[in-house]
Amino acid sequence: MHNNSHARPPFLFIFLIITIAVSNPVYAADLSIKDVLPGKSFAKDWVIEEKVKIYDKDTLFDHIDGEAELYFPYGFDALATASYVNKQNLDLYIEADVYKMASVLDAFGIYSNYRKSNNLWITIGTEGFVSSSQLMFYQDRYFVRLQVAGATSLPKDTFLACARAISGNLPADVGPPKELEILKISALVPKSERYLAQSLLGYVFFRRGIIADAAAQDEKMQIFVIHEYTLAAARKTFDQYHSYLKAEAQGVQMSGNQARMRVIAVDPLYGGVLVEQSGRYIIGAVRVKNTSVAKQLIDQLHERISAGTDG
Amino acid sequence: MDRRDFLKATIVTGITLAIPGNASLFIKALEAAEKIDLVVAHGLTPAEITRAAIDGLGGIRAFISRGDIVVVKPNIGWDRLPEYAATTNPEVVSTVVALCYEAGAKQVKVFDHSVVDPRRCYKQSGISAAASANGGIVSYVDDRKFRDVKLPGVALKSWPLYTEAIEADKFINIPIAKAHGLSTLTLGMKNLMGIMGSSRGRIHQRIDGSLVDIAMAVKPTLIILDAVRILTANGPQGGDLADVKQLNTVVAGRDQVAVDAFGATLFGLKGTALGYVVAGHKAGLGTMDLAKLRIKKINSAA
Repeated sequence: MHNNSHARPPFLFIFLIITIAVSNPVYAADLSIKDVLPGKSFAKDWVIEEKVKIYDKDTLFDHIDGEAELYFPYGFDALATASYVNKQNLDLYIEADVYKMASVLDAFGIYSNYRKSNNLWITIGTEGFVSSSQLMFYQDRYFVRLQVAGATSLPKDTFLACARAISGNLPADVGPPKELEILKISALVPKSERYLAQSLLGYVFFRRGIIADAAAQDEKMQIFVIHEYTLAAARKTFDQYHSYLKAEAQGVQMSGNQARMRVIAVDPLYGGVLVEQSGRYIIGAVRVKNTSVAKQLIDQLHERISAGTDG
Repeated sequence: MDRRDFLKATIVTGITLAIPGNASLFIKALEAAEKIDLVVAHGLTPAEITRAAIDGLGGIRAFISRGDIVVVKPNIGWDRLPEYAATTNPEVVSTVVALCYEAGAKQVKVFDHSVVDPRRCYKQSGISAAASANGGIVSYVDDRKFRDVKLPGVALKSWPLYTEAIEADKFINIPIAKAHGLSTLTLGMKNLMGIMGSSRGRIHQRIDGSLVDIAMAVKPTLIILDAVRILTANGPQGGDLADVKQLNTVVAGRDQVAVDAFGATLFGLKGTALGYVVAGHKAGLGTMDLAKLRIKKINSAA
């Protein structure tokens, strides 16, 4: 015989579980890539066409052809994609792609490949932008790309509604990658940072790093930072660049000591350069016209590393 | 004026004075006989530019014969409107279809192995409607029509290729010029991937040699590079009008390497910047040295 008093705890337990589930944000570890996109609709008149499709490293080419190669160095893990069709105009679509990358830095890296200085910025995810035909943002390890098909423009509000729906399915925003902190000197041109996951400046010995535009005292140049895991690795990278300059460049000047080596030269590809090994980092300025300005910027980067703003 | 130009001018003048009625035909034939390597046509409309480019090579009858079954292979890889420059300009394609029929072609088939949903790609690109309007036989790629073909290649020894492409009497390649994440630019040789089956992603791991192997096997009758609009960044799929540049240009030629080498210059690059162009040049597929080519420039808007 059942006792009614025994029936209450399970109901209470289920209620508590549901309450906890809906009140907590999505955690990265719990999230399946197939759940990041709205399952049916994201706004009135916009409904999913077919199902969410998933692509992995072996099949990404089938969705974006050779552009896939751009994603692999950033630790591409999986892609969820869906098309949302407008019920009032069946030729009008939003293609929604959500890429899961290896880390926040990698998600930022792939996002930064598409970012332009004149974009219209949005407040969805960690950072994002919208144009007449596209919206992109990154959040946690995820890079989101929305594209209109069947038209050359779409109302911004429609893009934003779709983006918000996706953002709500992703892990909570953890902020930009801490690796960007070092470059935050006053000369940095805002939102110009790009993380290149391979061959920074096209040199294979600069395996990966962050580059950005800088402007100071009417001078424009680019500054960069490469983070190596050990002092020895940083020295090796620096020596490789120095050897390259000795073979290919003009006016090569070396200075410094074991802890802080500096080279000034005219790089055949980038004009004036000032590059320094600062502990486990390689920091530098390229396209330099005024070396004294570049020295000031490199000193500021060095100070930020010394102060422990090194991610 | 070099010796060849002097002789041509002398002969043309003589013929024109002697038999004025036949002069234009004679000039056209003489120009064709000169073996122009590339024609770069610039003008107002895609149709006009395309016709001008082909006429500059001696006219469509230099390539297409009566009764030919012709395959026209544009880029229909993406679900994009023509304005995005991710797919070949539909008017360029439809003009080529019309010219082939004018030359007496029996059938002109139009298809591409789209990257995403072909129904949407064919429609949004405008190619299906434009080519059909001029009698083109437009079809989706059928997976059952691929068959393994032995290739005289280095990177590829065999690959499934689309039967209709390799069995056609004439094959006209009509790529669009655009940036490409992996191969820097996608031009003529890269567009041949649209007749390849199997997992094309594997090609990308050794793309330069593979493209040359395919190009060696297919050898298009004519390459017409659509640069009416070019995609300067974020290719191949594009999607941002800010990345598109309007050039109103079409490049035509028989030499795949030469067309691609010239195509690179539209982006401020040299042919040597493209691995597959260098590889094709070394393999004897064609020449990337533009200084050695006879390039005819036409401005039909002037």
